[in-house]
Amino acid sequence: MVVDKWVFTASAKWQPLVRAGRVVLNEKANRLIWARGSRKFVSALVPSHDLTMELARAPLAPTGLQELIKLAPALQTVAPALEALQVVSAIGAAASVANLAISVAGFAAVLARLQRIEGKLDEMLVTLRGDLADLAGKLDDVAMATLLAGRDSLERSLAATAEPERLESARRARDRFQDCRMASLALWRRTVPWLNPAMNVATVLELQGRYVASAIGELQAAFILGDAGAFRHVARTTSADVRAEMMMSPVSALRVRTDAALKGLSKDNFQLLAGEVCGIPSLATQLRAAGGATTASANRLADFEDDADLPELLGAPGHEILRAMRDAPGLDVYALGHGFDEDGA
Amino acid sequence: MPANDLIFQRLKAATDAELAAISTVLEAKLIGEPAADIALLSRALRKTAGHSLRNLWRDEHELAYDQILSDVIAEAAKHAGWPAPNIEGPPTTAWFEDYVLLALTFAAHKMDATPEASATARTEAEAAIRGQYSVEKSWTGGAVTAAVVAGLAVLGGAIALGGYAVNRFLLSGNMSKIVPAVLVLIHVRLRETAEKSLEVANGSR
Repeated sequence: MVVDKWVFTASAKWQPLVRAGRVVLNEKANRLIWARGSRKFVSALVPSHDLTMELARAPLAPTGLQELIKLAPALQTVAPALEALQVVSAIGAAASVANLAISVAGFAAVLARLQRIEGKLDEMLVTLRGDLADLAGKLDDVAMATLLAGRDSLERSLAATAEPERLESARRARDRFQDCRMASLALWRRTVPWLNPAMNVATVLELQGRYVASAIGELQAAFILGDAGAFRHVARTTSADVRAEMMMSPVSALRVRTDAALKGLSKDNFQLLAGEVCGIPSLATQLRAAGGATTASANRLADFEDDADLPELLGAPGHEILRAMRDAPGLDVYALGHGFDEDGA
Repeated sequence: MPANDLIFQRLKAATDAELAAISTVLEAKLIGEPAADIALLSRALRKTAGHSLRNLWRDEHELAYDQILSDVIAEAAKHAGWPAPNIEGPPTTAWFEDYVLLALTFAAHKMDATPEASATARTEAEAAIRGQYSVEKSWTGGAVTAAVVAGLAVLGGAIALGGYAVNRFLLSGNMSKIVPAVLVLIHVRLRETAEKSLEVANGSR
């Protein structure tokens, strides 16, 4: 989500450094970050000149969030959460918090989606070698149970009124999501999905989705636990895993599948080949979208690092921020990409 | 001798798997030397497709690909249960190939198709032969044959050829070798196009 550019900008204090290229606008997180090195949070954005002029022209000077969001449609989806956090007057903070809002709501939607496809992964992997299929089947059941248990622990943590219970539930959630994430990674390494012609693109994305959903759950739990260093570590390592293990060469992924489709061709079984050949453009479209979705997932996981600053920025503990964000309706899923959209953004 | 005609170009662009598939259906044993293998497959394809008497005084690489395709079009139409299409104007190879693909795809599933579905698929295939419909763009067009194809487990996870309930039809004489060989040559074209599109997309990221 990128807030309309005319709405927020860097404050005057930071403008010289922006012009010098030492700090840059992180559009995904709507904040300023250092251009080099740590790329850490520098400052929240402030209302731009255009926004100020718009407000000045209004018959009654609107200072509340309700008026602001009419001018910034991109903020409408997170308005309830912003209100809950009472950051109505902190326009810069409102911009910064938008990223996490999507992250949390996205996680809820990811879990809802996983529930709908429960048990499907083993069916999708049925064409794998016997030992891998067994592993995938077992993993599917265990991983789904673990994911759901993780979600339950996470929600219990958010509902807890006593600090010890909140932290204990968050720890349990973190550990369960981590187990599930590592199991997905292990299966990924054993199957080498992009270069495995027995795995179709939907199955590969499903497996990748398990990893990303688990990573997001782990990040939420770490956010509640409140250790910014540990939170950043999860964001960094999960993003690095997606980049190192799950990125692919679309051409190689296509070639391995088109070559495999010809295996065993004879004059007695060619009838199916015409349909397979017709499917090549579709396969290319799917792979292009899958590549975009993988890149987007890696980038989004990396962007979570910026959220480590939010409790300090907003003056609220992690669980309160998460609780408010969880209740913000109407946010979209990004963690698994957008299926087969061309850009996968 | 058309040493660099479309058959040669496709064979040169073919992967090892594609060359092996053509050699299998044409029953031509490869020796593992690229130039010789390509010449061998070109010769085998044209010899199998040509009339044995005319082959006597025709150069072994002379029979044109479009001429082979014309015969394959007629065969594909027959198995789809359609009359042979009218071919107007100069031949455009890709359009011919798209017709062959669409007709054979339909033929493999025609047992389950209603007369309306057959008529629609035929209209679409005949649009392809006039260049008004392209298999390369079929997934953005919502075409009927695309829906038929979507019913198959397309590429990846569905590699066991013949493992599906398709209408197995017998081809007459040498057509049982020519049609699969031509299908692989079309496979080369669509794979190359797809790979180029992916390279462009990757480069623009």
